[in-house]
Amino acid sequence: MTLTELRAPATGVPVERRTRPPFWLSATSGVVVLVLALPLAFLVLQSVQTGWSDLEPVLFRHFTFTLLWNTVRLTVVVTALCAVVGTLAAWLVERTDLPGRRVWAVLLVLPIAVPDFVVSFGWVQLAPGLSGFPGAVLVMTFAVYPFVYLPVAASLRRADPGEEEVARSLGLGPVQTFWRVTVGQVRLAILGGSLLVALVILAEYGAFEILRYQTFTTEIYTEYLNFRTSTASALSLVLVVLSLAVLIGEGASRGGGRVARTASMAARPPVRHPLGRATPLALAGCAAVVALALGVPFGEIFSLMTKAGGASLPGAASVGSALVHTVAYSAPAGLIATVAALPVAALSLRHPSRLATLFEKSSYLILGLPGIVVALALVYFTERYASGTLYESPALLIAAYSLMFFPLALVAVRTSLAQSPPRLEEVARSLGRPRLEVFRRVTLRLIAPGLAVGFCLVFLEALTELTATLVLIPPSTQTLSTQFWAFQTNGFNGQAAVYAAVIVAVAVVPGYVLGRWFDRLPGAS
Amino acid sequence: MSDAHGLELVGLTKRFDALEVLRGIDLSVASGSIVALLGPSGSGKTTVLRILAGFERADAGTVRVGDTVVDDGHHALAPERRRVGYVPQEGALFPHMTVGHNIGFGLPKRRDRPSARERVRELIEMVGLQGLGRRYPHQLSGGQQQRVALARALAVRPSVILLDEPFSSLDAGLRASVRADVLDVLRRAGTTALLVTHDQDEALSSADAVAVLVGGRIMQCGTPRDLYSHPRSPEVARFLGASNLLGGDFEGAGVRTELGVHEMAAGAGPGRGRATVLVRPEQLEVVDVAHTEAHFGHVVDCEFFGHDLVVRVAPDRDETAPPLVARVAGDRSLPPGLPVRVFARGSVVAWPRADPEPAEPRESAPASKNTSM
Repeated sequence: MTLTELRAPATGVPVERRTRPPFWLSATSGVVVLVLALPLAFLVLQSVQTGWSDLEPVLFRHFTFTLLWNTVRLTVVVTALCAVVGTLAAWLVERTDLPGRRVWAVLLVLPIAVPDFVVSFGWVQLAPGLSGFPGAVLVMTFAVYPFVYLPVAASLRRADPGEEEVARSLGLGPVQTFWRVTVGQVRLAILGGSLLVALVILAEYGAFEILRYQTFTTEIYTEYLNFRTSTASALSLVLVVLSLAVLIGEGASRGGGRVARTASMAARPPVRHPLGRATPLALAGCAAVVALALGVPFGEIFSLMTKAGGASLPGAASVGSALVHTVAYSAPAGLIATVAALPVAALSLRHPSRLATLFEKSSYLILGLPGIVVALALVYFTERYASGTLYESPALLIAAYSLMFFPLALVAVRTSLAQSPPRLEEVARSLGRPRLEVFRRVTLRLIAPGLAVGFCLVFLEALTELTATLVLIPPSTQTLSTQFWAFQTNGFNGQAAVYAAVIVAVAVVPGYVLGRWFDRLPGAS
Repeated sequence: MSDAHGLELVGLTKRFDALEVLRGIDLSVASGSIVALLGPSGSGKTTVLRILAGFERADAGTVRVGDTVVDDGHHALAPERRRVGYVPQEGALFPHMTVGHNIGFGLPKRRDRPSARERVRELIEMVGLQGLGRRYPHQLSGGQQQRVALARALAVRPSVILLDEPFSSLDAGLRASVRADVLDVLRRAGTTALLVTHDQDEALSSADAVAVLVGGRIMQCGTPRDLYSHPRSPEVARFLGASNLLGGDFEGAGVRTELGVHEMAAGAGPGRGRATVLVRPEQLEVVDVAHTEAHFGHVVDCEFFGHDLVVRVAPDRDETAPPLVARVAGDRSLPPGLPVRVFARGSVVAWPRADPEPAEPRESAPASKNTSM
């Protein structure tokens, strides 16, 4: 074979960097990131059309500062509480001799499957006086702490127990060791989980509406409902700035430090600390978390359903139809978001560069946007460029879900791709197999569990999405969450409870898959 | 003539940003031979391998595998089209596949299924893993994993096989036997192989030829015996094992050091002026003498290896100079502080020394590890 037969382009230029990604990978990632930026573009367009002179009074009225204060203090307090609850719970399950660890491992993850609005619905039934800031803190902490628990538990399992032993041998006590070594090992996991928590709180609508707590997102929804689009867009932009602050804060806290394993050999199983006399306390703590996060909503749903009696409950047919539609919209969204996350994750992991990092980080922004903003952005752009043919079509709703929860898919895909060594792909190619076949037979097989998790996360969130669904739902169809919302808003709590129960029943399956996957991450005993 | 080349590198250069990793590598590996690429960590060994395999691209230079130019600094052939097998350090077996599927990974899938199965069986036998075809990688020992990785690379009958420190993750006891097995398999398969290693014993004992790579350049390439007895520079000598590098002066056909006048090794012509002289530890004879007699120095310490003893002797002339390292019979008793005389046997290698400084301190490297066969 001679040079002319080589596959490289005729105008070959010497490669300067080893990390230069193939063009198709950068291009696909670029397209994904651009599509994710559509809602932002929509907000900017709206605000520009409105003009600064009209925006200024909205942005600087007293009410806006109230919303800002409400949103910021809630985000800060709940994120901090979730970090503490999630980390402690993960440490108890992964690193101590807590009795019944395997059961706790499932029970502590399960709240991720219970929609935030179902948690707040249950709490308001139990304690009708619960509202405002304390209520929002209580409900949100126990609804979203699994976002911290899951990555921290996984990270604790991978961390080298030898470091703790070295710290003890250097004279640090158990508490000092926990703070200086263990927390240090899982710092990035805590930060990553806290980032998701903060963004989810910024975008939450249903739970706060039930608790009568006003944040930017609830107000944005109200403004849109009353057709004050420019006000809503202006407020949304403030929310974007808040999300940006969260992202930058997370990035800055990561710092330059690396959490690296020095040993190349398989990890030893973690050494479990004996709890001793603290065992009852630890058990009580875990039981309290599970009771507050699962017991209250489940108990209230059950008691509402039994109280309402069979006659007044919705028919199986309407529940079934809502269920079918919900799954039909959520499942494709899970699939699309997961597939779209692949190139972005691959670019940032396999060809790290500033651009790749920018792509990856900027895609998290959309998680902090209210669903209604994403929905209206899609309506706006399809009306302009597709003459509105897609309005109220299932495709548009699926697209909205895929966009909104893309970051969750990205987290999962990135985690599993990071654990699939590029060395294996290189070996496979040197065995004479082309890139695509290598991807199918090696990479895809290794990251399949991560893809399943990405799908589950998006599916779970889409299942319970409310505001985008209310805007985009095709005429004369209902989903579980719109039905729940309609009944709940009109005071038919018994019927609402039925839909809540079905949502939870559907969500438990992917929730269980999540728990199982993290249980099988490398280092699992 | 091109037929004789299993592998040829000409003027290969590579830089990562500001770091110049390879500065013009020329290397030619005869078809069917096993060549060791020996160098300290950071010398660019792995980069050479990755460019050969096609995972990195050369900045300039030519890489030829058989008759095919696979990279000329502008165009590079994709890894899957090079027929270059690759056995990485940790084996990198596909964790989701059995031993049999790992070995058969590169074989054509659909057509000729029975023949593919036959080939897999043949290779399992060749690497001595009969009965383990259905095991998964995590059920194998490190040595077994390494052999599967080799069989997987050999299955597709590559023109060249690259081994990246394939034995370094094995423990010392296992290393020698796995290495012998692997080399045996390679020789029986008649495959051209390039073995990257930082272990001089491994390079000298296993390869037909050794290329010493230091700082992105090939310092010397030759047969293990040639390299050991005629290192081209003090650096190569130092890298190839324990050596005493003494200051000295050329004198007639020989060279004089503090140990006396030495004969020059065959092939090394007489020189003039100051010299750096290589005296191997096994060339030194240590004789204990009574305190009153004239002696060279005192024993500093001994390292006992069973079959032999490595003794370090500090010269009395200059107590700050690094001690001489000598390898003597294991049954000798040489307590620290014992006054001794030191003689050198046989011929030595010497290089003219450019630097005009007088009395350069003698240099010595630590005694060779005792993992040699």
